[in-house]
Amino acid sequence: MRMPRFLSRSAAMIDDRTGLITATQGAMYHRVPRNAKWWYVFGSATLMFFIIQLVTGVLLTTLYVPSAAEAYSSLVYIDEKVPGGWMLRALHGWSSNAMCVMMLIHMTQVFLHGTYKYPRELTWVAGTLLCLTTLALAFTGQVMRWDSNAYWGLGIGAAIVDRAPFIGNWLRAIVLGGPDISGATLSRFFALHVFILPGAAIALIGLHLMLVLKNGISEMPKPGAPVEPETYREEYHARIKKTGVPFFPDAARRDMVFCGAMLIVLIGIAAWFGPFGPGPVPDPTIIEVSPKPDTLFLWIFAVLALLPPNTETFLLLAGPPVIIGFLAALPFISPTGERAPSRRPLSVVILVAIVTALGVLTVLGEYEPWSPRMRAWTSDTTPVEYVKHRSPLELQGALQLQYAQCRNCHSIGGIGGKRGPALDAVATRLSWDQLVRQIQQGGGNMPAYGKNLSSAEVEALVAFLSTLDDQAQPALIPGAMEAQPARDESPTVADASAAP
Amino acid sequence: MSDHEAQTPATEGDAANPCENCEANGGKGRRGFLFAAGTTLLTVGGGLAAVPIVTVAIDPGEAPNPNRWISLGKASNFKPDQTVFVKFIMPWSSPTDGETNQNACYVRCVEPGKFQVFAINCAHLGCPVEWFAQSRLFMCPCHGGVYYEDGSRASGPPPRGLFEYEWRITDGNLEVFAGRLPGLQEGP
Amino acid sequence: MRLGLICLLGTTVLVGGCNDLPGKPPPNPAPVIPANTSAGFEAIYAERCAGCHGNNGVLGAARPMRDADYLQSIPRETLFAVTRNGVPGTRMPQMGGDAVDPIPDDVLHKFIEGMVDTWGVLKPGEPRPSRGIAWKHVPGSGDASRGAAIFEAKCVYCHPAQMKASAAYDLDRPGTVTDPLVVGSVVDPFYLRLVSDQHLRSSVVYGRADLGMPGAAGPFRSPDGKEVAEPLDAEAVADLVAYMISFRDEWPTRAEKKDGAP
Repeated sequence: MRMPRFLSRSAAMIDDRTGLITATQGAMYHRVPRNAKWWYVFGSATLMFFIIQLVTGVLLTTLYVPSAAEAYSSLVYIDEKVPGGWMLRALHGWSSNAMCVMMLIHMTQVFLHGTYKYPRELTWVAGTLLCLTTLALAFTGQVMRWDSNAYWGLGIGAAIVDRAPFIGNWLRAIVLGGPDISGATLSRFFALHVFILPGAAIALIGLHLMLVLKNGISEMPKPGAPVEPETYREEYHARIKKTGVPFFPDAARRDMVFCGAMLIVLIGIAAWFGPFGPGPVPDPTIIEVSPKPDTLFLWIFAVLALLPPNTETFLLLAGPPVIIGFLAALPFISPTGERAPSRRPLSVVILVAIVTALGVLTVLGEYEPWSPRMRAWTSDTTPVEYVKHRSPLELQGALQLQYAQCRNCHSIGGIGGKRGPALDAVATRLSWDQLVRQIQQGGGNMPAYGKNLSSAEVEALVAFLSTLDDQAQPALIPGAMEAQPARDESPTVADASAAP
Repeated sequence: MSDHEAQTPATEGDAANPCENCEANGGKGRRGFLFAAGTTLLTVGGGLAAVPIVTVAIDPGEAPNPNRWISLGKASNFKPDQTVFVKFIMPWSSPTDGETNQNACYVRCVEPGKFQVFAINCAHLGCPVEWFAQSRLFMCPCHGGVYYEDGSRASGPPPRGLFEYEWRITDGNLEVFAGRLPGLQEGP
Repeated sequence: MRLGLICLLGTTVLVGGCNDLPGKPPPNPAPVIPANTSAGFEAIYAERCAGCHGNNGVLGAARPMRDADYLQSIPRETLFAVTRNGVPGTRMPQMGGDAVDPIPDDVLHKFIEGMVDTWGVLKPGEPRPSRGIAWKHVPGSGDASRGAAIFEAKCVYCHPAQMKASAAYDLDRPGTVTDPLVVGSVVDPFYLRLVSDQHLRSSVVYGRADLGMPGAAGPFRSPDGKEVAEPLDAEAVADLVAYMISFRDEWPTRAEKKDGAP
């Protein structure tokens, strides 16, 4: 089918004056390696999700009110009153996650295949900056939700910034836009989320794509074919000229299939799971919250819980620059040599270690075993088998276990906090006297209860704990009177509690 | 790609030396004066424009000292040996603050006329600690920091005890010196 | 053509049927279930009470609340006051008032209403373990020496002061007893310091059906484990409570600070 004459003439005129069509065609038909197959679709998918973010994001700004007083109600309004509004929020939220996932897979592939080596070093650097921008967009997007997680997430961010020596306080004021988290804070993050960061992302994507076009798409790595800067370009162009295929339509087919499939999956997920939040209102006087970041940042949440306190500030402040610096410097650390993963065992080991660490930390962050369960003491029942055949004193001990909030950190019967050890078999590990000492003096991350418990309370508690022997003994041992040897002669418990 | 490269040699000659007749400082005489004047005007103008830009960018809300004395009610309302949760309104607020213009603290009455006022923010990373009157402990829901009733650190990651607000009693009212989100570094 | 139709259909379903998709967020704020309904009261109970009083109101470490006789006997104002303010000196915490995250008074009133209406319904003709004996402990009432005799006759089999003195003590397996009814002492001074006088009286009057302890109506056990059908009367209840209370400060003799006992 031939183009009508007037159309082709107009096209020629536009191209003559702007050069746009030639440039586009140059990009579309540039030759890419024949073996650039399914491994290469993730960059395109990242771009597609970014475009979805732009479209849904712009629409959301027509509905969202970036005022701390009204943001929350405008979100509820979008969810409940605007036709298709919740779907728009769901698409924006899930597409953000999808973009990050695709970006991380893309980065992993580039790292694994050594694509960052000569001459594509700066493409990688631009990619690293894009990665940071994307993560920043994801974090600031979480703030846009303006619920209690957003509020306390900002509090955590402020507390980290505050730890910087000398400039911490000043830096914190810049981040929060004032002495505390307030309307100014939301406005700042709104400006970041809808103007500054997307602008940076668009500019960096342009740079990234320009560099991809300039240096060409890399071939699949071949073991025994190291990158040598003296000859690489020449050889690459020769090979591409001989065996390469035009990007459109040859390579683009796979991109189109993958992106299309991902788009439909995204819509399905958004329709099924709906939008993220908003959670409880961002009222700092409502403290019955358990602040937790989105899945993407759970690993940071886990790191913050697990860092040793004495090196925490140093690691918090020095860690990010070192990690980012290492990422950006990677192509300059090893700019040449083998690209095939089979010839780069160290890189593979590093990659596996990073992926494993992030995976484990994310899972830990999801279960947050270090967090006390604030409502466990009133909601987590004493298992029935620990209530039956217990003496009155032991039952008072079971009550004391709830009353003193022990359950917030310790589980019995599988329910309760996970911060301390489960107590189902505590009597097999600790003797009566050891239990008394542990309760009164604490230690091993347990607060000392000594000054807060009377001797009767300690006695009852220990009497109950002494029956928790993992059901090893028949329950017909009413422990309280017999478990404590010679209690009548030596009131050791009373002595210990009298001591400070 | 190849088209693009074919074009580059032609443009490169220009790009390498875009202004063959140019000299340093924009030339001599009238041309040199205009160049110098332009540079100066732009610098001065830019500097002036930067004043409001940088001021707002650095900090739109911070007053020289954000803390003010805030009344928490009659001091006699607080019973000895009790720790209670008290809400207050932050002294610096803008019309768009919504719920965030509020804050809260824990008031511990050690004995009549003697108080400890704790920030709700954990000294680790600022999450809200909850007071448990039964075990006489503060616990943090984020990373498991625990504090004793006098605010000292009991266990977990916090590097220090709870932040305390200054307090005083004026006309029988308990007042705290607050306004700034407490942090590891002291006020501005 | 067919593909186009499918696409059109899909779009229509997506746009038109958005409200029927599973991802549609639930109303925000979530509708509050009134606390005086069965569901509303049970939700609060599960969060605030189940830890000690047991799932569904039975078999917890503390007194069961699914006890129609008990709920019918105790005035609602008393249930309200105890829940709101706690019982100082015992393990019953304050749930309202100036506690952190309190249950507001109006909700708490409805909660008590919901609990009594759901769990406090006595079936017609159902025997009452309390025999209608007054719930309230009167300080100073009862005679401890008479209580001692009643205790010896009716209580000591299940509640021996020393396990070794129990008739059910298993000589073959030292430390164990042969009868699951035998649970241990109620005259242990430490136990008595942790509970209120009212707790003792309530335990005697209403028993703990979920753990096999009879109320005032019996039946009880003689010291050798035989059933004793004769119930307790109001005077005997007061005597028993007075007897138990007399052990509270007996041992150790050391004066203690900050003890739990009232």
